[in-house]
Amino acid sequence: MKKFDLKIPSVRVLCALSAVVLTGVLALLVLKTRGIDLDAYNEIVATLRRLKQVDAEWNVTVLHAKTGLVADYDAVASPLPLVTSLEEALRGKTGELWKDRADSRDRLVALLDAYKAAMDRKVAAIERFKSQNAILRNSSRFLPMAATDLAEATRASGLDPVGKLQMEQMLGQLLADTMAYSLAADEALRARVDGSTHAIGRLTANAPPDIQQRAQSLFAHVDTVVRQQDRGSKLLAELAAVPTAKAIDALSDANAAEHDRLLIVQQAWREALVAYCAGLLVLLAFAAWRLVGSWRLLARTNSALAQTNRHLKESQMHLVQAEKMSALGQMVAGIAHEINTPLAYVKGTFGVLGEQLSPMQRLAAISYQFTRGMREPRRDTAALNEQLRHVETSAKALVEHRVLDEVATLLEDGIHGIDQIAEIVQNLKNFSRLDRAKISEFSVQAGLDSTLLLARHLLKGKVEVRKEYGAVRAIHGSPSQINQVFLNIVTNAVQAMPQRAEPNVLTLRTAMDDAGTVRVEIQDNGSGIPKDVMSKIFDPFFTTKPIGQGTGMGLSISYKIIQEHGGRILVDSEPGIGTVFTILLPVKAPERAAVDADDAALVAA
Amino acid sequence: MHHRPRSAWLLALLALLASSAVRAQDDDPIKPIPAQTALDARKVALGERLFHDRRLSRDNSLACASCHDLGRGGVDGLRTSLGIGGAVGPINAPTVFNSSLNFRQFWDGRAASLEEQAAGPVHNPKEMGSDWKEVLGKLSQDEPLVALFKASYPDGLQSRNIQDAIATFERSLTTPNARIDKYLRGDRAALTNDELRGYQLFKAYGCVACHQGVNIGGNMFQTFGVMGDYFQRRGNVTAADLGRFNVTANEGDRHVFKVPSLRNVALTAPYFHDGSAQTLPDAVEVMFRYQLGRTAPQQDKDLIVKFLYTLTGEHRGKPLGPADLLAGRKP
Repeated sequence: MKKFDLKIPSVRVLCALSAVVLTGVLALLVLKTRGIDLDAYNEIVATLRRLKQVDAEWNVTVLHAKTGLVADYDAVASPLPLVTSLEEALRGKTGELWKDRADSRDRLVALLDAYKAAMDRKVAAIERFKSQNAILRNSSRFLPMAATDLAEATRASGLDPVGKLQMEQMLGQLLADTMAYSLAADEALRARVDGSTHAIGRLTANAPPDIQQRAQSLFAHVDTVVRQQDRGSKLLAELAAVPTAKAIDALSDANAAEHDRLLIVQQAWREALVAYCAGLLVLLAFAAWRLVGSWRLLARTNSALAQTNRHLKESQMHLVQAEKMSALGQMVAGIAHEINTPLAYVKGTFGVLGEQLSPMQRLAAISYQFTRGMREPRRDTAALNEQLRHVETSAKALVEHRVLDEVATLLEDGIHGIDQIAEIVQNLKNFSRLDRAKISEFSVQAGLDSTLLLARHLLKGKVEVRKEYGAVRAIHGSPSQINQVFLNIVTNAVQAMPQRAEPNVLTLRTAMDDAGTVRVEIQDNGSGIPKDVMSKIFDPFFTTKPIGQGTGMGLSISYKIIQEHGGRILVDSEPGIGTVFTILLPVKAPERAAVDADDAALVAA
Repeated sequence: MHHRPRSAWLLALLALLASSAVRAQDDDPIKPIPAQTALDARKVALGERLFHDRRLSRDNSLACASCHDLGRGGVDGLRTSLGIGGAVGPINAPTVFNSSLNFRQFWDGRAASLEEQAAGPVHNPKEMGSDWKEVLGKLSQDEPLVALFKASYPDGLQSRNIQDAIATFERSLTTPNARIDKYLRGDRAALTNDELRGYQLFKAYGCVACHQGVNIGGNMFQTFGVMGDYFQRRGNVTAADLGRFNVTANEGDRHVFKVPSLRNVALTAPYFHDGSAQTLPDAVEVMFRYQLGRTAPQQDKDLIVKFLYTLTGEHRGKPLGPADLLAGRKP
């Protein structure tokens, strides 16, 4: 499990990298197994077949022209554009089909170039053949006419009969040899043609100019026939030797070979792709298995977390309760202290009052004795006088000592003490407003005052309280909750003030922040909040007090209360100088329902 | 078992040879112009427009039609053509009519197709002196023309499409129904007796050895001066006189030219690549001397000239070019 922890950055990078690599390999394999363009290949094969046919037919056409079977050269010239277009088509298709396989393409292009070179030679040879053949045929056809012409001219000339006969024989010989040469060239014939030509030249050396001119014309054509025949033989041999057909066959073979090679390679790639896909499938299955495992773990963890969360909430509720109890305890302590003072006073007063009762009791007793003696039938005057004197003395003492005034005063004092206790109880009721609707119009100043009263036992003698109240509007909210916040902050402030010579001052300020917001500042000049703690003071369970003395929930709950009233609570502190908590409360909280609901929850808690 | 196929093959060959031989006997070396294959009418129209478009030259002074005047037999009637700024070209303008029937283009056959040919004069500094970039720059300003290109070609105005359109138009410039064609198709009355005699002489003297086929020439190369050195006699040999040698640098191709078509030859004076022959009799004379190496009676040559007048065909149903234009065509 640890090995696969995706939270480790290097593992994450590795996973991403392997995913990219796996996808890349798959793409490569798919690319490599892309279908072969059979159409293009078939077109190449068909084009090569057509080219071979055209090439072969062209040879036949040339031979037809050579033998005079056709009277014009259109058929010899017409394959030219076809050959060109077929070659272009071949080049285009080859480039298209083998565009991704440079080595195959290069091999085929080299063969195409070889074919092109051969075909160019063939075309050039055919061009020369046409010219040569036209000339040869013309001169061959003209030769008998030229010979006849010369013979007739010779016959009509003044040449001696032997010479004429010789001339005619020579001409016949020359004509026959030249024609024979034009059909089948051979060295002996060539020598005889040359011999006859020289002989006729000698015979006509001294002949008249018209004969000489005719002889020259004849010689020129004989020469043309011989030369063109030689050329023609060479051209035909060249044509036969030009390896166009071989080049086309080589192209066909090479194309087939490359195609086969491609098929084999592609088959291999396809197999590789199948194997790879199988591997990927296994990997996928493994991943799925892992995923299901992870999902189960997640579900387990999730339920455990939910349970923990539930427990946490219960604990939190207990803590909130504890905080309330703690606050209550503080309050009770304060109240007890407050009530204790007037109570002691009342007790003292009543003690004094009790002491004042005995002279009055004695007066009452002797007065009763005197009046009974007076009603006796036989009066003892002396005793009566004595008794009267006692009554007089006691009453005089009571009046003279103003005892009854003192009693009245003492009673007044007692009532005053009781009034004080009643006032404290009233304050307590005001603080929690337990007797009133939870949401009401409420003056923050009244809240601060009742908070001060409750905290008086903390403040008394230690802290000088300064009130700097500005005129503020009443806010709409839960007095008991807001007062809880004030009390919490004031308590914290007092606890933050050390015993020292200079006076500890707690300053309470109220002001309107703007038309709709009331600003309450509670400032102390205590020890301040250290910077490292500052960010945590509103966290639940955070406390700087020793274990058992604070729940760490006070400010957290205060924060929540203010937040739910749509307000904000800010703190600014300078260690060693003091802290000021600023509470901003809207006159009208935005959502009463939320406050009500939470209020209910807090009360329930 | 193997005999049958072989004997069958032999028989077929014999039959082929026999039929060829029989056909050759009454086979005329000249063939009538076949019915024109269907061409894309829109491309033909676009090509015609471009053929007459002077923006194809650098200074907008010349169009294809400037040297290949369709009203003058597809030539300019000059010894050698004039390019932009009056530059005197090196060679006589061959006719554009029936150029599609030539096996190659230009006198030296350097272009294998009409498409390839069309680019030649545009770039030749002595002819139109421009280039495709410049031409495309000018033509792309012409919205209707651009729209016409878009209508005919998926990729619109492109140099190769200009070439294609012009070539397509040129393929429409065949001139069928010359009197010789009518004669060859069996109308024996199409030629007069003299003209027919001229045709027979044309064949008998061997003119037909080179001037044959559908285009009466235009399907082979031939040395100018087979039976005598034409250029030595004429003198002042220019680069253009080297002919195909300029293309192949092959010594055997020195003074070799494409055999020109003789169709409409009566309208395309002056003659030869150098425009040296002013009239048909002059040209026939030169051909006899340097190509055939023969002499002939004047009467025969005259008859051959008469025959050459029967080669004038029709373009768009009308006889090509006013024949009397020849009379006023003097250097």
